[in-house]
Amino acid sequence: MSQDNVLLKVESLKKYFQISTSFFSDKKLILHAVDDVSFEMKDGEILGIVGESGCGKSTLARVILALYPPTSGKVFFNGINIFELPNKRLREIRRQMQVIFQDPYASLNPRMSVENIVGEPLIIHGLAKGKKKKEKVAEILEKVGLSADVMPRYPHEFSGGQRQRIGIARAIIINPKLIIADEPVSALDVSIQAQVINLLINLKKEMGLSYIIISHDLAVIEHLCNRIIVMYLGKIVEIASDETLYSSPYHPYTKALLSSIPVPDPDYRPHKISLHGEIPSPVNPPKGCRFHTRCPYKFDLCEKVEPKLIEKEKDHWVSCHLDSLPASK
Amino acid sequence: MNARVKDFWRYFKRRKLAIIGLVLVILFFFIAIIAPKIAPYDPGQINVEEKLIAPCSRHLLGTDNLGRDLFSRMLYGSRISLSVGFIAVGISIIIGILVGSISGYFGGWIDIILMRFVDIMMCFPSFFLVLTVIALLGPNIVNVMIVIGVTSWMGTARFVRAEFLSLKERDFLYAARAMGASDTRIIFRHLLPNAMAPVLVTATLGVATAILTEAGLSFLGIGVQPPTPSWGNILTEGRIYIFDAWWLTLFPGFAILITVLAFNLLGEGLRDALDPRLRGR
Repeated sequence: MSQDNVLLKVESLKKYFQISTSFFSDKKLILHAVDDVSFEMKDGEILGIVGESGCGKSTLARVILALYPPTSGKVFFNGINIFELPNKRLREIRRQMQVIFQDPYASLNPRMSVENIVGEPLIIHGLAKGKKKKEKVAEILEKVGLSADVMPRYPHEFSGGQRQRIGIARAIIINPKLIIADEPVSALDVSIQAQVINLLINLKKEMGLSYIIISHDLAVIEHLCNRIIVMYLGKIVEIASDETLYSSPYHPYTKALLSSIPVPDPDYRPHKISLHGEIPSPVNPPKGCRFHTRCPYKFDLCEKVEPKLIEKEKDHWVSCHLDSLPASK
Repeated sequence: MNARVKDFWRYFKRRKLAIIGLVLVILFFFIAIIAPKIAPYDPGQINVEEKLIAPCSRHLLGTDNLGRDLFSRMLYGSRISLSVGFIAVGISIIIGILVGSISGYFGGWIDIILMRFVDIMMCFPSFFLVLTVIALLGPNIVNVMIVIGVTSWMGTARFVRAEFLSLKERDFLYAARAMGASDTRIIFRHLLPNAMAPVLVTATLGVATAILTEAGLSFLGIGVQPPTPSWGNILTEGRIYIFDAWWLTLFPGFAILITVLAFNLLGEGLRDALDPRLRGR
């Protein structure tokens, strides 16, 4: 990956949560939500992060946004490590990084009018007030496909899709560079999903945004993203451009995920790679390769040594031992 | 906010008892405000010739041992009772919100220290705590308000803290943080407005308790001091004549009962109407 115009760089980021079992016991359990994750993202890119629920993708998003303090690691935004910034500088950085949440019912303050919700970033960063704020809010609302008359109304008066649009309006009103969308469409009806996805694509073209899209829905990711990160149990297993990933996935987990995408053809008999067992607990992740408990191709090395993320081909990074198997199939 | 208010009102008006409470509370307010206009006599006017007259047309509720008109004294007493109730609750709500917000928002050891302090405060039977402090500070109406206020904020603090803890994990709070909102902004714009419903309910119920506490203190002679009339001290003065002049104890007692009942009914109605989980019943 080239060094020029790197927007976001994540360096061996870790986020562990401590869960105490009971008040009286000293035993402390550590949940490895994000474990040693590194990647880079270029300006203007749409990066997808996929994985099963519980694989740490939402936590990763929140750590990058500095909503959770990291256990260790660094996140560089435009070359600046955001975890080393004093609060005041961090707020300036926040102006360029915004977030869209999964649940449009929980992400809008029920006691604030649409005007105040969407206009709040302007107030916080001292960009506009009063009439100017109102004009700007009206402009942005039209941009996301709502009319300016909705301004005095409250979130509970809207449908899920409309609320998600309000959430998007709030995220883009201060012209951010990067938007992290945590499952932006998975709470919506399928028909509305497409509308919101198209809105995101149009906004990117219009405003020169970069996105990190987090989803468990591979179809959504395929439609939106240029490059995809596949996560399993807090670790990255594969990074590739969307064409490479969908045409020639390497990691067995990625293959399994891809084969699980439903195909709208009743006669299609897929060769499904079904995974057995449950995703192991992130409190006690398996030794060696984290996927070995469910991997159909595992061999003895997988149980002992943790595979490193290696660039197999140009811009195609994989973390798997299969390659080093002497009699590789 | 309009639709919310409408929604709330739709549930609230179904509760007959709560409506009765609301009407009574408004009525008492009204009476307290216009007391000087409708009182037939000066409440302090002593007229020994007319002492202990039973209720009649000239003295609607009779007179006391000094010949003062009980009806006028009761009207003025309502001002004392209501203002003690409201100011005391005002003080307790402010302290409660402050402690609860700090505790719930910042968490960690601040939370532990504040909540243990709340536990300690709750260990004391509050009436005896009030008695002790009044005995130290001296009995007068301002002290009564302050003391009732500073001994009754713990419930509010716990409610606010609990609301904050659950609101803190909601996405709109993360959104506000991601926007770069300051702590004060998050507390005052995002958390408090969403945590006010239980506070309103405790406040309403708190007014009833405060009125009762004031009456109790005045009855024991360490609340509002005569000659200022309050329902509690009218009751005390009438106690001596309970067999000769029943009206001196019955009417103030009844007034206290009705007011406290009204606030309790209103408070419970508010709680049921504000809590969506209780709406169906």
